[in-house]
Amino acid sequence: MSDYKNLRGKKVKFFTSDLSTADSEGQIFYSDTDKEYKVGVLGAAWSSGGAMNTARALLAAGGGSPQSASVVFGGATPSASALTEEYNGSGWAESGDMSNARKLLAGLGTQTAALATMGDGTATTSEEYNGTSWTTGGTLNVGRGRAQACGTQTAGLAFGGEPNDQKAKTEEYDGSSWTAGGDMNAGRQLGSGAGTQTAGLAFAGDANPGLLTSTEKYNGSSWTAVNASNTARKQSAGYGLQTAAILAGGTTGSNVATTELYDGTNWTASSNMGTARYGLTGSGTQSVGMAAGGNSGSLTNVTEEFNQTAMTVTAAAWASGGNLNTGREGTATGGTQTAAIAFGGGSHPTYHALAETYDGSSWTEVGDLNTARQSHGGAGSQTAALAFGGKQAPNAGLNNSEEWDNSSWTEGDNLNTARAKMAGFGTQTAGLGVGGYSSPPETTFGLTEEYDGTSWSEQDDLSTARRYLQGFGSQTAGLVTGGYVSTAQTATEEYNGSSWTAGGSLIASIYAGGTAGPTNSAGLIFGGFNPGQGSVITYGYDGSSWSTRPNMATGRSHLSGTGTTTAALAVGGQNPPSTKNLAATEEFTGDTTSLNLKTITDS
Amino acid sequence: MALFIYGVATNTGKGFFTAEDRRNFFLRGYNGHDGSNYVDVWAIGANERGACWLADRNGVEKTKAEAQALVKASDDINRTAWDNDNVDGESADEKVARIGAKPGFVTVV
Repeated sequence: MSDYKNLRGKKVKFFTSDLSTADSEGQIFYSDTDKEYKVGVLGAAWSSGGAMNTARALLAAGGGSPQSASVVFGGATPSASALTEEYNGSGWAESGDMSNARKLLAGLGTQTAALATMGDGTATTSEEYNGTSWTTGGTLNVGRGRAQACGTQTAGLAFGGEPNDQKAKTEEYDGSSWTAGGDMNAGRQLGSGAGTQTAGLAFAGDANPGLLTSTEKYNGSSWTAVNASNTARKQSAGYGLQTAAILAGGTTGSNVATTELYDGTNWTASSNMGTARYGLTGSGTQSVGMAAGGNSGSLTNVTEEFNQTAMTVTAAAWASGGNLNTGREGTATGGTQTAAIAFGGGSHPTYHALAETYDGSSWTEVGDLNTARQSHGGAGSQTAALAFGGKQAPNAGLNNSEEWDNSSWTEGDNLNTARAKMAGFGTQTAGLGVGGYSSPPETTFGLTEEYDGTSWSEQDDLSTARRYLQGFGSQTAGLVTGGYVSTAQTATEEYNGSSWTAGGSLIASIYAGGTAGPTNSAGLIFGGFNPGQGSVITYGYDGSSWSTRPNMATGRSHLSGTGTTTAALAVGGQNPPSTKNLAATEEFTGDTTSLNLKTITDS
Repeated sequence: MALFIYGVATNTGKGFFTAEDRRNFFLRGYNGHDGSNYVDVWAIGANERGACWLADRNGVEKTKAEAQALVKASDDINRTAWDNDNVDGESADEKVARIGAKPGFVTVV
């Protein structure tokens, strides 16, 4: 009998800890810890991604875009939309609108070179996207809608659609004009496509009448019927290559979540999506892709990521953390998700001097501030924190600061300008206080003050004065965003240690939210005030733009936050219109990956 | 089929809902008031895991109308508190600057 070494040319290795990287796929090893043989195996699964900003169905994508740089456009909201959104693998950011609102359109290309064409009806127009804005593209020879497309912006393919006499027709795009290609054998509309102009694939759809399983491949001039898919359906997501395509979701009369993979010869069933829906779109490769939007009973902004890998992707999410001993709003927080301190705050009409530390599980009361305060600035760590400014009466700003040494609070230097509702971040010896408000007289500040562990010094002002702004980062790589002055703001400004420059604008205005992030190139903001109630929204910043992240469970404003983009903590706040302050906290965990291990047994 | 189930369950802190729970079903929390105390009202994705989550936390299922009524009761208390929070001689604008705009009503999903 042969053994593993004879079969594979190598021995089974002996490890005290499990293998953990993707290149371990297929490697058998013995885990001395678990006393088991294990192997890294390929798995395929859908996992939740960041939600689109606008729920919609019947939209299109640049189907050749990778999962981490996708673009979708148009769709029904329920009226036809011109909206464009880009996905970075974590969240969505809005981009330039198309010139024409379209639904039931066809799309192809990538995030920096996409094409939108046709729509619902008999449109002949096309638009080209360059990663920022749309310009007019070539005109189709025959107007149609509900068609499919694949390929690139300079070598595109559109096929099928309506009216019925056009449902087998094909046109090829060269970056400026459309020319007729070979007819499909089976006409279809509301189908799916994958591949390139010279190696295309048409699958699923509606023969009008009759849902289709038929699949055809294109060689640059003619279509050939190949093996059919398993489930007849239409309005599905389809993308990939002629030899490695994916078909997901759609409707058979009822919404389906089923997924099929094509290997160039046969379709086989794969893992189901989490949300059954039709009218969705998708992009990427058969191994790493995404599907977004659709209608699951109502219009949805759900995004799901498909990964066929030995690595299991676990999506980011918020979970409940330990409850504060005293619920409050307008507190400040420093430290990390598992070693934090929250100090001050208010429970209308009481101003608190309370401080509590967090160990990742529960909060413990520690020494009080010398000055009760709310809506103050905060910086530092669980063992070396800094509290400054704030208010002890409805709007009168404080100027004193206090330093925490893991035992007690002692007075620090006074701010040059007393104020509350400012952003505070950095460390106890390199802190930053930005913006803010005091009254009377009612004044909103753009002031920046730096603390060096001894004294405060004034620095360059913000371009836009504001209060209840959000900030994170360090004294030499800081960021503030949003806030309020006359109206809620979306502007972001980045600080380099001496001056402020404009950063990417927020997707939507937020003020009185929480933050986390060690630098101005990697941060989160969460919660904040929406007219009428506290927000659950979470956005992430990558140094240039904001994108969505999974929402918190409980809407809240006037909260505080600390941590990083992968391990953040949201603390307290209020859930307007209630004056009941929250003791609840939430913990954010970013996307994680781990090797998909299977234990080998002899049964 | 309804998209959500509704219920009341006290948020006990760490572990009350996990990241895995959030991946498995929709969850949104609201402040409510039952006439005696503030209560935590939840809208939960209507799947098996969501239903089990509420049951495992000794939650009490409510209809959407009942959940909305609990939230409105909390809203009413806070709107009344806002109406009664006055300072002699203060203008309407000054009041808003002092304590913020009058709370509105929250609508559960």
